[in-house]
Order: sequence, then C-alpha cells, then structure tokens
Amino acid sequence: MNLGAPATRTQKSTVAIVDDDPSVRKAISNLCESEGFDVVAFSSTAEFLRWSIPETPVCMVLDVRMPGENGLDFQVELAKSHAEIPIVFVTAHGDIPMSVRAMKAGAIEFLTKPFRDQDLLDAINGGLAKSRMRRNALEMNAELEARYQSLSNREREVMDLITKGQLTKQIAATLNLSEITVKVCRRQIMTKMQANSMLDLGRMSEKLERMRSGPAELR
Amino acid sequence: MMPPHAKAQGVDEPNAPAHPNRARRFARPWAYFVSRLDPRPQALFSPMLPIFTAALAIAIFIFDTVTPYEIAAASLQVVVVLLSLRFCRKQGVIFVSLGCAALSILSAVLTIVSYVPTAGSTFSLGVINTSISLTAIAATAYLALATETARQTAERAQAHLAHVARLTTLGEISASIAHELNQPLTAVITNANAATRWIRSEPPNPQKVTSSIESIVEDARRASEIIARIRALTTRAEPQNAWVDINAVIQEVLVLIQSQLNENRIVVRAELNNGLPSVFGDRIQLQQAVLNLIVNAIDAIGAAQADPREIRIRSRKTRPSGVEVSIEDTGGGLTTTDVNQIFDAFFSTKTGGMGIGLSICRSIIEAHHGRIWAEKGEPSGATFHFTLPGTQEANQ
Ligand SMILES: Nc1ncnc2c1ncn2[C@@H]1O[C@H](COP(=O)(O)OP(=O)(O)OP(=O)(O)O)[C@@H](O)[C@H]1O
Ligand SMILES: [Mg+2]
Repeated sequence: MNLGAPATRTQKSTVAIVDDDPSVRKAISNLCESEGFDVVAFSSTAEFLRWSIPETPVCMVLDVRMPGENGLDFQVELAKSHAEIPIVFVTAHGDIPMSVRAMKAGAIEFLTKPFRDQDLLDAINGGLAKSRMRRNALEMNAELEARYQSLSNREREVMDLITKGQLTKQIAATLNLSEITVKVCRRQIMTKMQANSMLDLGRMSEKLERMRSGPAELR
Repeated sequence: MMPPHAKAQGVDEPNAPAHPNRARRFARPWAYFVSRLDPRPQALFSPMLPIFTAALAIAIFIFDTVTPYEIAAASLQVVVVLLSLRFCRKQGVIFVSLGCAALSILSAVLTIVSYVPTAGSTFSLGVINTSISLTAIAATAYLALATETARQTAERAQAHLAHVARLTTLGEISASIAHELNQPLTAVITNANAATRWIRSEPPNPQKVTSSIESIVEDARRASEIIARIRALTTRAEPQNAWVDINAVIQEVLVLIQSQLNENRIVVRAELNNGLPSVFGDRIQLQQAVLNLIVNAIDAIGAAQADPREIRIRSRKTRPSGVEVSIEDTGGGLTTTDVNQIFDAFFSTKTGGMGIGLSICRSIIEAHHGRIWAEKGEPSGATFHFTLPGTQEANQ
C-alpha cells in the first residue's frame, strides 16, 4: 500500500533521562547531547509523568533504584497507561533477576553503572528506532482511519461487501442498487482509500478490522 | 590549680569555624591536645572550682596553724583532695595530695615553733593527730586515684565500643558506600566520553569540552569527599569534641545510608528546624548514634513489610538551649513490654542482631549529657527521641 512513510528520519529524537543523582543525570545528558539528541532530564518518575511527551521519537534512560519508587514498577505502570516509551535501564548494582524481569517487561537494555558509552548510545538508538516504528505505525493507522472516515455510508457498505469477495452483480442485488452505481462507488472507494488493487484494499480492510477490535496500538 | 585549658575551650568556641571537622585537625592543633587533657565536656566544669579548692586548702592550713597543736584540722584536707578529683586527672590528684600533705606538715612545724608545748602529753597527742591527718590524706589520695583510673578505663572501653560499632555498621553500609562511590565515578567516565565526542565532532565544540571537564573535576571531588567520610568513620580516634550542628550530623548520616534506604524503598521525611543551638561533642559518635537509630528503623520497616515505608526525622529546640531529635518509623513497633530493656547491651529480637546498637546509642548520648528514650508510634511503629544540651546562641 502506498501510505506515504512520514519523514521521521530527519526528525529530532528526544532522550528522557530519569535519575535522582544530579551528577549522573548531568553526565548522561552531556553524552546524549554530544550524540545530537534532544535531552530532557528529570530527578524522579513523578516529575517525568508531568512532562508532555512530544510527537517525536522518545527513548527513556531510567535509573532502577530511586528513593520512594522502583524503576521496574514504573515500567509496568507506564506500559499500562499505553504511553509506550522504550526504556533503557541503568543501575548501580545489576542483579540478574532484576534485569531478567526488566527485559521480560520489554526493556531495551539493562546496563550496569559505569557503562560503556557506546553501549548506552547503541541502546538508546535501538530504543529510538523502536519508538519511531511505533510512531509510524500509529500514524499509518491514523491515516487509514481518516481515509475510511472520508467514505460515505453507501461506500462503506459496498467496501464491506467487496472485501467479503462479492462481485459487482451480487453487491448490486444485495444493496438493491444498479450495477452502474456500484461500479461508480467502487471507483470512489479505490480513490479515497488510495488502494492500488483489490488485494491492497483487502489488506486495509483487515487492518481496520483489527484496529476496531482493540486499542489503537501497533499491531 | 587552674588547668590551662579551662579558659581556652570556653573562649575559643563561639567563633568556631563552619567545618569543625577540618578545623580540629588543621586550624587549631593545640585544641586536639586540650581535648586529650580533659575530654569531659565543659558543662561539668566550672572555672571557679579550682580557685575555690585552692582557697579551701589555704583556709584549712591557716586554721590548722593558728589552732593549738593537738587540734588536727589538717585532716580536713581530704576534702581538698576529693574536690580535686572533679577537675584533675591522675597526675593532678597526686600533686594536690602531696601539696595537702606538705601543708599539714608545714602547719604542724609552724604550730610547734610558735606555741611552745606546755606538756609532753599534748605534744605526743599532736604528733599522733598529724600522722592521722597524713594517713587520711594518703588514703583519700589512693581512693581518688583508684576512682580516676576506673573512670578512665570506663571511658576508654566506651570509646572502644563505639569504635567496634563503627566498624560493624561500616560492614552493614559497605553496599551503601560502594553505591555512593559508583555514582560520581560513573559521572566521571560518562563526562570523559562525552568530552571526547565533543572534540571529535565536526566542528569541535570547545565550550562543551570545557564544561565536561569541569563536571569531571566536580564529580572527582565528590568521590574524594566520600572517601574522606569513610576514613573518618573507620579511623579510631579519641573522642574529639567540638561544637556540632546536629542537623548537619543527621544529613551526613542520611548521605551515608541513602542507598540502603533506596534499596529498601524507604522514604525519609526530614523536618529539621533551622537555628538550633550547637551541641558540644564528638561529631562521629553523634553520627554513630543517629546511624544506629536509622538502621534499626530500616530493619523494623523491612521486617514488618510496612506500608507506607517511611522514616520521619525531626529536630527541634528545647528549653532553655538544648536540642531534641526524634526518629519515627512505620515498622512493626516495639514488641517488648519493658521499653527500657531494648537499651540493654546484647538485647536483640533479631536473628542476626548483636543487640549493641541501642546500648551504644545510649552510652554516646549520655556521655554527651543527653537523654534517650523510646515510645510507641502512632498509629504503628516506634519513635526514638534523644536530647542534647547546647549553647545559648543559635547556629549560623
Ligand atoms: N525502630 C524500632 N522498631 C522496633 N523495634 C526496635 C526498633 N529499634 C530497636 N528495636 C528493638 O530493640 C532491640 C535492640 O536494638 P539494638 O539496636 O540494640 O540491637 P539490634 O538492632 O537487634 O542489633 P544490632 O547490634 O545489630 O544493632 C531490637 O532487636 C528490636 O527488638
Ligand atoms: Mg540495631
């Protein structure tokens, strides 16, 4: 399908750093800036939650242990709120069970302080790529939805039947329309949905179906 | 008889520098010796006492000399010897006793010279009385010295106990220390990496290179400060007394114990009042006392799986010029019926507990002329309070 890929490549990427230690926070910010990322830094996850997450790809660098909270619990909480931001964990003492738990819950990487700069930057780039993909997918979904919304009720009915495999004649009979009308509708649908072929339209319809049956997320 | 240091301590303190720890070593080396001479805090010490004692000795001497020989007023000198115990160490007590004995003999000689004995019997009675006086002075001196030795031994034992405790707690908080050091070192390495990148970037960014290097210096300094703190905890020292800001002591301890608190997901709420009077004492011992109380609170919260997991530390001024510190936790609270029992040495309800934490706390607080006690918390948990006497003037 020819959903024009959004120009995210050239877009700025943001790294959100959450660490209660001011000197570590400053140092990671410095490193990320030297790599050309936009950087925002927070001293607690509570502070992070007050931040309005930008439209650009975002990756989070999170200290596992901070006073009054636990990075792993926060990861779960964040996932529940559907704000799916890839997380790179850093920790002072990396115990294996903890890192296993973090990775299972979808962490990008689990690094022990002091980490190699390249390891951190690689992990961040990995996280940003994931965020970008997720963003693109969401944008594509939104685009598809918008195209579908531009169809008239009649056109939607026709599209439904087309994708169920009915021929023009059958559709005309089912909807009590002339074959000409159905053909016109059909052309309209292809144009509005920007579908190249019947197969393409079928895929779009399938995707819309799936979007209807769950929250708007990457599928 | 006035000890030379009595005045020095009193006069010097009001303008004590902001960092008594450092100042104690470098700015006033003599202060160190002064504190060795008389580690007893000033509260005990009145500069009038030696003057009064000397006056008393002379009064007894005059009275003894002017009264007839058979009245042995010299035995009253034992009071002088006992008084000297309040402000002298061993050598001082010996010196005072010898002085008293000399005065008694001198007075006897003077009495004999001026009053020609009338009858032989009275003279021999006088000789017996003089000997009794001398024996009394000698016996008192001996007892005084024994008391002083015992007190010194107890003092040393207490210092030793505090040292042992310091090391024990050091073991407990070694994880904390490792974490504390790891943070600035991580920052150093990361900033150094960033600096390299800023140099290599096209075009190089000298401003960012400079700021990275400045951060490195700052972080390295922080690391070395942490090491200095650990050293202060581990080196064995005689108690070193100075004017101490109790809020600073609490904050220093919180830094040391921070990662253990984080690990246990405990939030500390510190409500430290400004303008508290300074307290006179040994900074490290006071840190030790606060540390033990916090470690106990952490243990209690951990054992009770408490919710919320909070330690509240408050400091406030007491009348007329003392401070009170309370440490409140949300743990399971005190389980013993006798609240004072927990302060006994080797009393512990924990599997790995030695039961010396609170007994050390008590000996430290009492050595500083303070009081420590425990209470049931509201609605749960335990609260420990201690008070310490302070100066008239507030800090800063
Ligand atoms: N905050 C507290 N909450 C509940 N109980 C406490 C608290 N602090 C002390 N206790 C009780 O007092 C006892 C004695 O404490 P103490 O600190 O002297 O020894 P300990 O903690 O058992 O061992 P350690 O020698 O390692 O300090 C503890 O075992 C515990 O039963
Ligand atoms: Mg204890």
